[in-house]
Amino acid sequence: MAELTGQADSASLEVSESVESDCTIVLTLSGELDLSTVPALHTAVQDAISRKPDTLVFDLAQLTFMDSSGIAALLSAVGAVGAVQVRNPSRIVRRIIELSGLAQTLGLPSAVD
Amino acid sequence: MVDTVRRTRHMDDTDALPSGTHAPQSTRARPSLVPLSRFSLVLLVLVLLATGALSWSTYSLNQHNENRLLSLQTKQAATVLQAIIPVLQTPLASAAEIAATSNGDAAQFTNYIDSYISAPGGKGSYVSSSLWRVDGRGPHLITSVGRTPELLAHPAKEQAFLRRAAKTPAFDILGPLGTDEPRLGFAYASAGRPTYVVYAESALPPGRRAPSSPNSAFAELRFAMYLGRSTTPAALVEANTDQLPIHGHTARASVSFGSGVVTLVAARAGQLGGTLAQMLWWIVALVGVALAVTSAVVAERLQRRRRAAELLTVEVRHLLSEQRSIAETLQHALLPQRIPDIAGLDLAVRYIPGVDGIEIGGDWYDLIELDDQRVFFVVGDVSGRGVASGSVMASLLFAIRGFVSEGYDPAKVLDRLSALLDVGRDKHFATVVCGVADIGRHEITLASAGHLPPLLVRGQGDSAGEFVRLPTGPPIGVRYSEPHTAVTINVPPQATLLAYTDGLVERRGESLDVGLHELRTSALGSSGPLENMLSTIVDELAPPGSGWFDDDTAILGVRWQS
Repeated sequence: MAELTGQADSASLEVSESVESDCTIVLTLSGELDLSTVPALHTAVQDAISRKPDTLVFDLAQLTFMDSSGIAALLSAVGAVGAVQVRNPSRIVRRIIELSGLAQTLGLPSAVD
Repeated sequence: MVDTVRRTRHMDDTDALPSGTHAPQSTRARPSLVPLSRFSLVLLVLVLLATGALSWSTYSLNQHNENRLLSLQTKQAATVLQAIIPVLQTPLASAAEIAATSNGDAAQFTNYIDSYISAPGGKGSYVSSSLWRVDGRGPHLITSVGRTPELLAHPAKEQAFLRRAAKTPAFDILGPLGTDEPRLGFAYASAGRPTYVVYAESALPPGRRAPSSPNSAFAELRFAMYLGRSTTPAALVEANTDQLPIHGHTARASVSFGSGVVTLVAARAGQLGGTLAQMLWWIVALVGVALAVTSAVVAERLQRRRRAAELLTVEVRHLLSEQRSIAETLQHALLPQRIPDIAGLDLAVRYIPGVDGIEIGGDWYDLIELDDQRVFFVVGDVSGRGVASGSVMASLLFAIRGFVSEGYDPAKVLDRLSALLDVGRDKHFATVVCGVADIGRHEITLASAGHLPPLLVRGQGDSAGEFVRLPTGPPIGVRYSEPHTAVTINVPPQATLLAYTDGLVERRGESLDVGLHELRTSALGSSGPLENMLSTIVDELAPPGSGWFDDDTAILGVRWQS
């Protein structure tokens, strides 16, 4: 029981929003992005899309984990706004995006191997 | 959510599940004639019994106290009565002394005693007084002051009483005398010869009814005072109640009064020990009953709540097990039941439902026999979990089968598939790797839609395994104009291709590269048939019950037999 509870408790996500210029909205994510925390991001993305920014930036510097449902949430903005850009992904998150072939789609500069 | 699901599932594993829902329903439907459960009823009765006992002991203690107080007060009142004696005796004693020294002079006697005589209800102690000379011939009246002595109406009593009084120089009492205006007679005799006896009569109150005085020793008592030890109506001196003899619990005290005895019989007129003591047993009873009812109600409520919770637990367990079996059944039904039997090719698959196996996963594999030389294989992963992911997975699985049957190659299959899903609309996307394995040509054609690269094991040895470098197209569901592209690679004899989903290699807090490296090491380290290789990989990378393995996983292996 204890180890199961501890595992579930560890998954938490915080989403904060800032506006860089009139046309760019930045969503800063910290914590873990998975099936249990993704609804918070969905809400934030829908809210950002409704204001029709030119660019929607996801700052992932504080994000330690992301699973496929998290990628789905990022991708749900593609096409709905002018451009989607992922910023400061950790090495782990960057690999997930690259291996999914989504680096270009999510505006991630190619990594130097 | 995740926590709840896991915990509940843990319970399911340890406890036997009920075979049906009928047991709880029949329990609930049972009609109850008594509104209280047996426990609450017993509690109620016990507390009521305790209350009764406590109340009764309080009551009897109070009664005991009251009786003791009554006895004390009666004795006290009798003592007060004795204090009257000097008031009555002194004038008579003095008058007897005057008579003796003056040889029975009537004028001196009258002069002295007159101030003590008044009409009934007046200030004087007596209504009548007379001086007697008692010698060998008997009592002889010298003079009389005030009313005519009642004693004169009873010659026999007169003789006996005055002779007896003359014998000792003491205070003698007689009475009551008369009926219309009853009186008590008192006598005091002088010493020496001849003996002079001073006799006086005092009137009893009208109807022998004692005047009530709130501050007297008798205030809280119903009492009757008798001359002598008997309590006959004739002996009654006075009483403060009409109901005689005194009923209820009475106390009796007899005290000497001059040469005679006065008996006091008393009962409580009210509460002697204060109202609180009297009310206490009532208070105890009321509080006790309130306590009994409250505790029974609380016990009942707790019991009902517990019973409801127990029923709910059983129902929830049943529903969860039902849901899990539905999920498992669905998943089972969707994944191919039969692995194609193709000469020259080994095919093996695994599906592991992860810890949260209660929900349908989004991972799948598929194997489609194109002809006796070629097999089309698919491994895919729909983001998320649950029924929504499962239905997306099902539609993609069947769509691929349709496209394949129409003859599309892997890259085209993925292109066509992209039109079916939109992550913005459906909240899900899918990564898919698919390909065609050709037995005779020893080649494999692969296309990827955002999926992790398959592992190709060329044989034994550290350098024999590599992840296939292939252009990764966008996942299914992402709007993207670029078409998917396929690559065809040659494979040596006995080579193995492993396609898998991210659940196998993705770990929280770990780079994907670590998982990929472990997969490669595990695959290269295994020997024997393809089934063995898959078992080894699952055991090493996704041991069942390891807890941290929370995503579902699909693995597919293709091996050329020669």
